[in-house]
Amino acid sequence: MREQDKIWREGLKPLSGDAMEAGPEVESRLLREFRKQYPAHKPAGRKLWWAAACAAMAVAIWIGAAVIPRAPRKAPGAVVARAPVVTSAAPLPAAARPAPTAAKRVSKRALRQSRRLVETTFYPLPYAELPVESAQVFRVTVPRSAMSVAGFPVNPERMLEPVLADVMVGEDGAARAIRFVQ
Amino acid sequence: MLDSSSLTDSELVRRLREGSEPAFMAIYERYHRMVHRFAWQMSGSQTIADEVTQEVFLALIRRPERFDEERGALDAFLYGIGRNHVFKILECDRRYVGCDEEAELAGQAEPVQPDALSALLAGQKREQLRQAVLSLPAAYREALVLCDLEELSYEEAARKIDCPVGTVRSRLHRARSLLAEKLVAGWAGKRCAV
Repeated sequence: MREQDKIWREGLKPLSGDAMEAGPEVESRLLREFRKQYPAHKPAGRKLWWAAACAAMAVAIWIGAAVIPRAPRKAPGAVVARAPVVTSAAPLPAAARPAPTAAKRVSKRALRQSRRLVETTFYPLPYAELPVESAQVFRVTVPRSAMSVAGFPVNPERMLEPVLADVMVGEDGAARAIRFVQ
Repeated sequence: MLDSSSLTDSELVRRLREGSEPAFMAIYERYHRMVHRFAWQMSGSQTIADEVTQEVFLALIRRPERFDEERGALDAFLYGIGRNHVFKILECDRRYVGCDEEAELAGQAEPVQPDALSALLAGQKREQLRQAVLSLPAAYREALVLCDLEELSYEEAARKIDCPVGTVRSRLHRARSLLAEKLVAGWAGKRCAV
């Protein structure tokens, strides 16, 4: 570097440390604008992951519904289960034994019976609207990879193996929560 | 949580286009100081610097496709937008000094002796220095800000301004000469209209 350059840089150094940062309101305004620009923004990786998991879930539900014979609609005495209010990953009382389309009232006896199997708590599905007033629980088989939705570690080599799961479906037919059965 | 440190600018911009807020924040965190500092040094105003910083990143949010990595780096892209805003706000025409004229002006400038220069600069109060720098014509001030305050090489400054290295040299030379003249004359007053 030339001597003149050194002298000027040294002489003007007091000014180079003066600059301040942009105020926090600038960042806030930019974030507001960003969210306006990308209203449905979600982290790309997570978005894909949830999409894949939800797709797997939908397939599993569809397969489950197709395999299990349909119960007559509005059979006399049939009552739609009043699902417990789910606000988070709080444990729910177990629903009836596998009788996917026939809704049943959840009784204490059924609850005790279902405890023979080891079940996890219900985990709300991403972006599912909770709580639900009424819901049905379907026992289905899903790929093991679906367990990672709830944060369970899954061996990549066993991703495609089937596992039992209970899917809670709301009145509108949308899956709301899932639990796994061992 | 996005680990932005391992991601390239191009990757961050790609994610931003997909709507990733962490990617946008990573870019903002990486470059907003550079933009703000340049705007502040050019204008001497925190308000203008904030405004320019905001406009630069708004442009990135609204039109991220304008950034083309094959045409240049992200910092140069952001700097370019910031520079346009600064000149627009200051109502300066950055091309008001043509290359030939610059060479002529540079030729006329009297070099200041190193010892005298050191003493001159050391004897100035910071505010006097600041006002003297702000009084320089914008094109010269820009060269001085980039080369002497930001301490970029002539080549780096030339890339940012998008002009030949020789132009940066001559503008810088002229900026220093004018600044020295002002300091010698004890100029410390109001900013000249640019």
